[in-house]
Amino acid sequence: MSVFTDLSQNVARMQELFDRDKTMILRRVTPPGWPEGAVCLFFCDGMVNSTSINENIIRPLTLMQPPPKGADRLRYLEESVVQTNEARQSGDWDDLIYSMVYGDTLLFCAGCDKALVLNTKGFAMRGISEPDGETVLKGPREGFTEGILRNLSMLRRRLRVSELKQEYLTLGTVSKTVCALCYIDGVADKKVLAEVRSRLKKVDMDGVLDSNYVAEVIRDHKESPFKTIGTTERPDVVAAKLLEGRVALFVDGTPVVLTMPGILIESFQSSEDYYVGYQFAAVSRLLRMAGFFLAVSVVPIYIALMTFHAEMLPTPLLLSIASARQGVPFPSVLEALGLLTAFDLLREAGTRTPSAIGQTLSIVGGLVVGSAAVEARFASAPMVIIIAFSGITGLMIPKLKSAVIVIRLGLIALVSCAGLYGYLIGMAALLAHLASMQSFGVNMLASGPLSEMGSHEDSLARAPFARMKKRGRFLSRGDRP
Amino acid sequence: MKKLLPLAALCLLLCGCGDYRELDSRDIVAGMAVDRGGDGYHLLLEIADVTAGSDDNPGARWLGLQGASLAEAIENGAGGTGRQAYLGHTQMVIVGEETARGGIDDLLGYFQRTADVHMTLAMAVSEGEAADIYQQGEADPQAAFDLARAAVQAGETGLAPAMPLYRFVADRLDEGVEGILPCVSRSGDGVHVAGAALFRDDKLVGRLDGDLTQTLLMARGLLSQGVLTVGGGENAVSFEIRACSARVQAGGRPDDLEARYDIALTLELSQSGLDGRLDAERRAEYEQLAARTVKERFETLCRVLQDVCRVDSLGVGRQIHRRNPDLWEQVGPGWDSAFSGCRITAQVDAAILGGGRSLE
Repeated sequence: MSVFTDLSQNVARMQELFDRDKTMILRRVTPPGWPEGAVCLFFCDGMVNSTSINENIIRPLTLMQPPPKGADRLRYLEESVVQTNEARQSGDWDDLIYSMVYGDTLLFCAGCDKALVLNTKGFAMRGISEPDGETVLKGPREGFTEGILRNLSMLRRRLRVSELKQEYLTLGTVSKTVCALCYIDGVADKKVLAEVRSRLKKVDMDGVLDSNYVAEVIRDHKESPFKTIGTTERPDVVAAKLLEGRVALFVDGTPVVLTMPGILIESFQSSEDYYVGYQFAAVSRLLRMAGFFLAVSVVPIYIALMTFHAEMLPTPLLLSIASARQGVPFPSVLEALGLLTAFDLLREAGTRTPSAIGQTLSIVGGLVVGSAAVEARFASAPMVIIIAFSGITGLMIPKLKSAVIVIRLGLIALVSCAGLYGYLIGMAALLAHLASMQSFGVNMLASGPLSEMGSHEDSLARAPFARMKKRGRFLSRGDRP
Repeated sequence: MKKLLPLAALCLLLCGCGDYRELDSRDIVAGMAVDRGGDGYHLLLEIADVTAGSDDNPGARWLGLQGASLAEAIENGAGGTGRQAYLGHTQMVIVGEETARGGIDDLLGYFQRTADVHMTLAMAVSEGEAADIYQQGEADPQAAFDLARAAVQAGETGLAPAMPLYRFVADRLDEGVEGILPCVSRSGDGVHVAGAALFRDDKLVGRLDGDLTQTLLMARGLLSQGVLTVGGGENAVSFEIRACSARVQAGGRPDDLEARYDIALTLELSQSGLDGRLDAERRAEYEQLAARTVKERFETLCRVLQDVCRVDSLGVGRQIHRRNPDLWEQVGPGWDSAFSGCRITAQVDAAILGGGRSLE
C-alpha cells in the first residue's frame, strides 16, 4: 500500500496504525495561501528534537511564500522550505513508519502521493564514558554508547580513510535494529567478510536488543565455553582490530561491538598493552596467561594432591593442611565445590548490586563469612585460600570468565575420580578442543600463518611497534603499502 | 572432540578410585621402628598427631603393631584406629640389629611395592632393638623428624652414610658392591646417628665407627664436607674438608687382583693444638699428617672389610665389573673370597687452603 493523495485518508491511516499510542503527535500546519490544514506533521514524542521541528519545519512552513503555479508542492517544500539537514520523499508506509519511530518527522501534504521524511532525531542518550569492564590507566577513555551513529562516528574519527566501509543492515523482524558491518577494504580478509555476510543473512529473530543476540547465532562452536567472536566497548580496540584485518559489527542500542574472527590470544590481550612499554606489556600478558592456567588448575591440582597424591606435598605443608582440615565434615571435593559456589554467588551478587553496597558485600562475604566458615569448621583455611586465589586469578581474564568456570568444574570432576591423571586427561582434552576450533575459518589457536613464521609480533608478547612490519599480521593477506 | 570423549572416559577406567583417600582418614606415619621376632614383625609407629601441638609443629602419638608380615601389622593398626597408616611422609625407618642380621629384603620389597612410600626414605640400623631407640624419644614429639634431620646432617659431614632407600636398593642390586646404612645408637644423652652398618646382600655383617665410616665415604666419593681430626689429646688438629675426590683403578689377574685408590683432599685448618702459626713448614707438616692419617685409616678400613667382615663395601668389584667385564666374569662368582685377597693400596694427597686468620 502506498501513500494516498487524499490527506484525510493518510491521517486516518496513521491514526489507525498508531491507535492507543499517545506518543504519536499530529500537528496540522496551514502555510500562507494554502487550504486550512493542508500540511500534517507526524512525529513520536520523546524521539525528536522539538527545537528542530519548531525552527526548521513549522516556522518555515508558516512563513513560506506560496509555490509557483504548476510546481510540485512536495518537491517545493523539500527543496525550498524545510531546513532540516536530511529530507527525502517516500511513498512506502513501512519505510515511513520505520523512520518515524526512529525519530524522523513525516510531512504529509494534501494532494501529494508521497510524504517527506525529515531528520529530526533527538532522543536522549547516555554520555560517552569509559567502559567499566575495560578500564585502562593509560590511553583513551572513550567508550561506545547505545547510539550506533555516535559509535560509528567515534570509529570514523580514528580511521580517516575512504577504505573504511560501513555497511548498514537491519536485523530483527520486529525490532528492526540497525546494524553496521565495518571493515577496511583491502585489509579485511575477503573470505572472512563473505562468511560474516553469509551468516548475518541467516539471522532470523523477532528482536535484536544486544549484539550478543547476533553473536550467539553467527558464532562457530556454539557448544564451546570459549567465545569465537570478540567483543569490546572501546573504539580504539575496534579500530585496532579493523587494522588487523578483522570485521566489526555495530548493533544499535548496545555499546558492545562484535569483532570477527575472535581467536584465543585476544582474550589475553588488553588495550593497555599498546599504551605502555612493550616489556611491561609482555609481562602483563604473560601474567594473564598464567592467571588463566592457575584459575582452572589450582583447585583441581590441590584436590588431587590432597586426595590422591599427598606424598607429593612437602611434609610440613601436609601436616599444616591436615591440621587445618581437622573437624571439617565434608570431603575435599564437596568443600571446594561449596566454596566455589559461594564465591560465584558473592561475585554475582556484587555485580548486580550498586557499587556502594557491592563493596560492603565483598567485605562481608570475603572476610566475615570466610573467616566464620573456617572457625565453624565448614571449610578449612587452606581451601579458602586456594579458592580465593583461583577466583582472583580468574578475574584477571574477564573474557574467559565463563570458560574458566566450566573448565574448572570439569577438571574437579575428573580429579575427584582419577587424581592428577584425570587432570592431565582434562587438559589434553581441552587442548584438543581448542586445536579443533575455528572462528570464521581462522584457527582458534592461531597467532600467525604457518607460512609467515616471522609474524608472531603480537601473540605471547607484543613486539615493539617498529618491528610490526606486516599490516594486519595474520588476518590480512596484504603487505603494508 | 566427540571421538575424544569416549577415549577419555575409557582412560578413566584404567585408574582406580580406590586410591582416593581424604587426609582425615589417614594416620601420617612420621617414623617406624621395625623388629622381627619369632611371632612376626613388631612395629612401633610414630604418628604425626595433627590434632595436638600447633600447625607447624604437630604432636606425636605412638602406635605399637604386631603381625606376621609388615602389611598385616599395618593393617592390624588400621583395624584398631580406623585409619589407614600412610607411609608417604615417613621420615625414618629404623631396623633392629637382629632384624638386619636376619635380612631386610622383605622389608625393602614392601617399601618398594607400596606406592605411597618415597624412595628417598631414610633408613638406619639400630644397636639392639629398634623400638628402644624410638621409646627413648617418646618424650620428643618429633623424634622421627629429628632423627631424619640428624641422619642428613651426619651424611653431609661423613659421620654416617647418607643412604636413602633408593641408593641402598641400587647398591643391593648392583654387581660388586655391598650396601651400607647409617647406625643409630642410644646413649645417656640421647640418640645419635654415627657409623656405618655393613651389609652382605641383605644381611648385616658388621659395623664401622665414625672415623672409618668417614674414610669409607671418602673412598667411595660420597663425602664432600666434614671435619677431619688427626692426632689426639693436646696435639689434635682439626681440618674442615672443603673437597674430596677419589679415583679407583682396579684390575690385575684373577689370582692377583689389585686396586689403587687416589684420594685428594682439600682442607682448611680449623683448630690446632699449637700456637696457631701456619707458615710453610707447618702447612707441609699438617698436610703430611692429614694424608698419613687418612692413609692409615684406609688401611685399617681395608683390613676390617677384607679380613673381618669379608664384604666389599668399597665397591672394588663394581669398578672391575664396569671397566673390565672379562675379568669380572672370572672373579665375579666368587667375589667375596676374591675381594679378601685383593691387594688394595691408597695414595692420599692433602692440600691446605690458605691459612685463615692466624694469631700472628
